[in-house]
Amino acid sequence: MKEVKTVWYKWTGWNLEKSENWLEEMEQKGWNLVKVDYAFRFKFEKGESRKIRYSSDYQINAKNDYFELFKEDGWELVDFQNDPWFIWRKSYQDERPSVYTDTKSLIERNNRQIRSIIIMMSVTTIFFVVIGYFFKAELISALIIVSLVFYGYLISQLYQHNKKLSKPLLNVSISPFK
Amino acid sequence: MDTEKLQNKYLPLTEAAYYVLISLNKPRHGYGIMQHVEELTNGRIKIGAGTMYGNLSRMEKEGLINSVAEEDRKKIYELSEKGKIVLKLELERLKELLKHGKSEMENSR
Repeated sequence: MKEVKTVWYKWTGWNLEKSENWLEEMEQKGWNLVKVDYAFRFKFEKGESRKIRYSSDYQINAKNDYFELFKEDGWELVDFQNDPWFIWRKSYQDERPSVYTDTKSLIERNNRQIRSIIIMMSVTTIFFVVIGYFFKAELISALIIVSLVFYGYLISQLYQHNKKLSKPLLNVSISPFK
Repeated sequence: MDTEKLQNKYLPLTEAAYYVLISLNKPRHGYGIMQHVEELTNGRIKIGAGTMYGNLSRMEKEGLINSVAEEDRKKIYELSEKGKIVLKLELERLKELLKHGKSEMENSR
């Protein structure tokens, strides 16, 4: 029987590099990633030390051509089941490969997240307002405020990450609507 | 189409976008473009799969390129008329940059 290890790991959409590097370090130590459950539960198996690059992507409505392109470029999809999030991996020797090779694409990945969050925020708010007609108004307003604070926090983190990314550039729009 | 509008909207192109557009003067699929660009630039520019996918989806949505066929679940793209105009404008812009750069640097000698 192979030795197994399960780790609950908190990753965030604005600091994917950190979780990607963590997975890479685990592989170097011989902990090979098998799959990820419930978005945050990482299952490893003890095996050989491997040099593997992990890259995460946020892609809504990913179609055949999306998967085909990554596979042709040598990327393997990790068992993650967390659409529209995808984790890709690729073994390498010298030059460390990346799914995203320019800053603009990284900013756009954040912008796709921001747009989704704004949609979720609107849906949640409308939902609470509607059920507010039937239940205690104070409780509902509290829930609305909590959800707005939560979504607002996510958006501000992603926005700040965009600002950090665009710093050395003079000409990249960080607006999620452009 | 209004030249000024196209300039304001699309120029300057990112390096990746520029190389994608010039590669699509011939019909190619995403991975084909990646290989072509690497070859053309002697490995200086490698476009990642995510960056390539993002560029292709955006350009198709904007009508700069058209998907002309599908082979083995891979879409094949080609420059559209609008894409050709944008590329021509970018080439003119780059020519001007180069001309100014050269003349200024020669004057300072």
